[in-house]
Parts: sequence; structure tokens; C-alpha cells
Amino acid sequence: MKKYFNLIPILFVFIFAIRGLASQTKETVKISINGTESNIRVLNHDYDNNMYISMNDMSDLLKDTDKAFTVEWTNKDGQTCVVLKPGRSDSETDTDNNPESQEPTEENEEDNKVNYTRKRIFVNIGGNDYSFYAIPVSEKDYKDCYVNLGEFALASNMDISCYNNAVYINTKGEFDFGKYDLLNSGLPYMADSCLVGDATTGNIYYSQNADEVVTIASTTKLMTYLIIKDAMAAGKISQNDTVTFSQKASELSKTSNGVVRVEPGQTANIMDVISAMLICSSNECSLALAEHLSGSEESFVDLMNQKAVALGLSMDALFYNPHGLPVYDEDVLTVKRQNHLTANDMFKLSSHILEKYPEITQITSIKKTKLSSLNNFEAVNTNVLLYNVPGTVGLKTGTTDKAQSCLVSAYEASDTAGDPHYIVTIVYGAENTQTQSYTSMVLMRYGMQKFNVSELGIVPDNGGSKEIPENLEGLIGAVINTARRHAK
Amino acid sequence: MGRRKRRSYIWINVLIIMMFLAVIGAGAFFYINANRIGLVGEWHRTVDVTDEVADSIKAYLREVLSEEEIDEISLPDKIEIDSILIISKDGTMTESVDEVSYYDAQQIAKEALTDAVIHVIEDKMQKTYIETDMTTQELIKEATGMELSDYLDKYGPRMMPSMDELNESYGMNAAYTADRTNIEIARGADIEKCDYALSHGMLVIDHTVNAAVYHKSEKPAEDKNEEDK
Repeated sequence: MKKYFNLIPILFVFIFAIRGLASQTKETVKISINGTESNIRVLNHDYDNNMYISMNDMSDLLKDTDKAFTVEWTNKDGQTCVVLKPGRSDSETDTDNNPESQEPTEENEEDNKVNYTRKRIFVNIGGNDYSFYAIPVSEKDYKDCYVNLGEFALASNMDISCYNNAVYINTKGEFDFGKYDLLNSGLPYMADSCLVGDATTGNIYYSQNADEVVTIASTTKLMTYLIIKDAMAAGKISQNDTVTFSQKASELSKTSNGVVRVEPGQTANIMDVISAMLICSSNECSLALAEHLSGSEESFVDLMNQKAVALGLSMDALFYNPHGLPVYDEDVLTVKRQNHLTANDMFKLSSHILEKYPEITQITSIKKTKLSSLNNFEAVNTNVLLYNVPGTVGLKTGTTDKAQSCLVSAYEASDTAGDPHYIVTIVYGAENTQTQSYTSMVLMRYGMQKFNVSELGIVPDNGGSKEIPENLEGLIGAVINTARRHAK
Repeated sequence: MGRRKRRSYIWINVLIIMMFLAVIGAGAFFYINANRIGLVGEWHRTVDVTDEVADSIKAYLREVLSEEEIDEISLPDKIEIDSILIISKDGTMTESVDEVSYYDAQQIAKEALTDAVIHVIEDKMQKTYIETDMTTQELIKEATGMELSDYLDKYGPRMMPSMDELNESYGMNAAYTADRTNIEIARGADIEKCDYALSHGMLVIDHTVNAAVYHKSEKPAEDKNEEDK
């Protein structure tokens, strides 16, 4: 077990702004791995405690444990990929990195400032490609990758915690946290509203501001999908239909909000159009589907709002278009309007779709595909959780200036009878994509833990034998961490 | 007739003189040896370990508390251990730490440490605003796999010297000779000459290093009755 542990700093490590070059403060912090103390290099990106840890140092520190790994650099689809390859040979010692020789640094902050580029790269951990905003460093004699501590904890699933600016790792335990950690870390408040629950049972594990009205951007397309599928089920349209793009759809495709460039009269298979709408959030495909079913966007929007009533969504659920873009009305004093509802509404909507049309996950779980009837357009999924939470099967991202960054995601779990359950997280109003995906990752992890306990009777593995804290500080941290697990 | 009377006066005078000398002699004997006789018996002194225990607890807490916070922790006023000195008529003397009082003192010290640690943990938890139905002791047991007292036995500070160490410092197994004011204590080849004083059930032996003050052990009434039998 750990030496004391406060998970709040772990959950509170997040990135405020995504930009290329930014400043980091170099620091060496204390780290304890299974009770053995050492030091590790970190970069605090833009802010204190926004900790990114050196993978080279972590590799050295874990070399004698069952979580040992080596750091390798590759290229994946033209992108930098860092592979944390499990296992380690005795020859794999990087003499350039000797964190044990470096004492924790707190002075001369100006001397410790650096400007590295933080960017989204693939970090392969345990065989899974995680899409993280990381800080790769490549200098004359030094190459390293700094990964956000919270994301590393979630991906590696090691029992990691922070206390008094030191990191504590128990390689035999699992990363877990309780409701108290969510509440006190402030993490849910990184979004305007959020929710995590079991869409199959309707059980909500955690929500924050879930009744607050939020603009929903492209998560609108889930309602569009529902209307289309209902129409298919009713025989009004067919999955073999060919969709024709109108002038309006073509013009939309050529704006800054366009995704798949189409020409008026261009046709495509309806399933490819649906895929483009869901995978790469094609606004023109949403419009084309609406016009294909209803003849006009306005008629389709009426169907959307009727459906909202039929599903029992709140009075705050209102749709103006099938894609989620902002639109101006026709009044003299024109108003920019956007589709809006609440997180609770979206939970109901998602739950209904997953129950009635679970095949949606066959589309929304695709990371990348070519759509043959759309000129082999390569549709790339914008849902980062498909990479960062193995087992994620959807559902939809959304971004506008007002809505900020949104994500409705679903994870497929099974209960003791083997029946599927979908754990759904909803995040609205995160300030950027990284925050949106990080918050969703943590919420999803929390939801999985709650599901494991409530449906499967599984409690997080603390590694079997306890690591006993050997000093008072460690004892306090261990007790606080235990209390956190049992918090009301 | 006159001569016989004079001879009887002489014998009476001799008798009186002899009785007087005997009284003087007895008085002198007792005057000289009263102290030495008074030494014999069971004595006890207290070893005060209060400061030692307090310093150990404070040093342990100093890792997580400021001096001001440490001052607010209540610590025992007095922790003492009895050392028993037995001086025998046959010229031997032994001293050893009383086991019962040692373990009592140890218990007091452990309770003080336990209370201090619980106080610190509860204070820290209060500042985190965590609410749980578990008691602090239950949380500690789950966190460490053992009761707090066992945890502190294993990982806590050493608060007092061990019995052996105390016996090393205070115990003895020696031979002695004493006159009215001096006692010579022979521990093997080591001979220590000290002044001593007896007064009102108190024995003070002025050792080379420092003085040791003993009090006569009062035997319980039951024991006296046993002896009388």
C-alpha cells in the first residue's frame, strides 16, 4: 500500500490550455515505489501541480517491479508514438537519466523554466495506444517523454497517489478513487455539467449540474440518428437508400463548418452518410439525412422536438437544426441560437438509443474508416476515449464556441449474467478537448468502479498484502486515503 | 566487722562501674552500628522517564506538526519506574528495575503516543472534510492491517529505555561494607566508596556520578501478618 495518500492532486492535474509552445517548470519530486524512495523529474506545464512525469525516469524506477517497461520511440500513421514496452532487460539502463542523483528542486524557479511543445501523441501503455497530450523532449543527448501524471495513473492502472508534493506508487494495487475524490478534486467543475451512469439500468453514479441547460453542439447528431433509425424501423426509409446532397448541404460543406466536401446532386449510401455524421461529425451529412427523410430541415427539426417530448426530456430540450451548429433566426434583432438540453436529458436520450439501437456502437466505435460512397473519404473519429479507455464504444463529441468541448461516451460492460451494460459519461462545457477527454476518462473510470462494485461485487484490488507506511506522514496519508474510499 | 563492710562497698562500686561501662559500651556499639543495621532491608527509588518519553513523542510528531501544534498535544505529567534495592545482613546488595512498574510506565507512554497520533490524524482528516462512518481506529486498521498499538510497537518511536538498559544503568549485584557514614560497594573488582545518610526512612547514597535517593519499602499489612506467623 501507499505511504499516504491524497488523490486530489492526481485528479487535479489537468491542462488549462492547449497550445503549442508553453512554459514548464522543471522540478524533481520525491517518489516512493513500493516503499522505496527516490526522485523523479517532472515538468509542471504552465501551472504548479500540472505535473508531467518523465517516462525515462519512471522506467528506471520501475525496473525491478512487475510493472517494468522500456521507452521506445516509433511512428504511427505519421505521428510520434512513444511505446512503454512491458518488461526490461538488465542492459536497458539509461545512464543519461539518474534521478536518484538529483535532489528535489524548489529554488531558482526562473532557472528551471523551459519551453517544450506539448502535443497530442500516441503513448502505448500495456499494448493500447493512448492519445495523450504529452511533452516529448528531444535534445542533444537527451530524449524523453513527459506524460500527465493523472493520465498515466488511469492508463497504467497502478495504485498512484500524491501527498505533500511527493508521488507514491504501489505496483501491486489498482488505481481507484471514491466519490470524495471527485467532489474535492474539483474535477467535475472543469465542465459546466457532467454525469456518469449505467444507461442500461438508468442508475446515475455521479452527476453535477445535470439539470443545467447547456448548448450541446454536435451531440445533437445522436437525436438525428434516432429519428433516422426510427424512420428505418417504420419502413419510411431504408438502410439501402441513396442520399442526395442538396445545394444547401453542399454550401454547408464548403464553409468552415464543413467536413465532407460535397457537390449539389452528389449521392452516397445512407449508411456511409450516417457514419460520416457520427464518426467525423459531418454537418452536411446531418443536413442531408434530415432532408432525405423529411424533405426539409425545418420538418425534420419538428420531428426532433416531438421526439424530445415523447422521450420525456425536460422543457429545456430544444432543437433548431439536425447538426448542432449555431444558427441565426430571422427576426430583426437576430439571435444566435443553438440546440440545448440538460445532461440528464442526454442521458435519457443516449440510454434510449443504446437500448433500442445498440448497433450504433458498431459505427461510433470506429476510430478511422474510409467511406467508399463518399469518394473514399477518410473519416477519423474525434472521440479520444476510443483510444484512452479501452472498451469505449462511442458515442459523440461536440464543439462550438458557446458549447465549448463536449463528449457523450459509452463503455460496454457485462454483468454477472453476461448481459451488456453501457456506462455513459456526459461532459458539457469543458474548456478544451484535453479537459473534456480527461474529465470523461476520470468519470468513466469512476463509473466502471461503481459498476464493478454494484453489479459484479468487485472491489478495487489494493495489491493483496498491504504496504505498511513506516512513518507518521505515511500513516496519515494511508488513513486519509482509506477514509476517502469509505467517504459518505 | 568494719573491714567486711568496706569490702562489700568495693564490690558494689566495681559492679556499678562495670554496669556503667557496659551501658557506655552498648551505647557506643549502637551509636556506631545503628546506621549499618538500618541499611539492611528493601529500599526503592523512582526513575523519572517523563522527559525522555515526552521528547520521543515530540520528535515523532515533529515530522508532521509545528512546534506550536506539538505544544498543544497533552502529554503525561509523570512517568516513573521503580528500582528496588535490597541490602542484606550478609553484606550483599542487589538493585533491579521493578518489572511491574516498568510495564506500567511503558503502558502510560504507549497510551500517550496513541492518543497523540489519533489526535493528529483526526485533526488532519478534519481539515480534508472527509466524512465517513468508520472510526479512526478502524481506518487505521484497514490502512495498516493492524491495530494502532501494534503498528506503533513496530513502527513507532522508542520512547523509553528497555528493561535491560535500565538495569544496566541502575541495577547492581554487589558486596558492601559500611560504617556509620560510609559504604564501600564492591562490584567485582570495582570498588566504589560513597558517603551515605539515613534519615526518617530515607537512604541517600552519594555515588561518584550522582546521588541516589531511596525510600524504605513499606511492606503491605498482609505480608507483615504472614511474617508474624
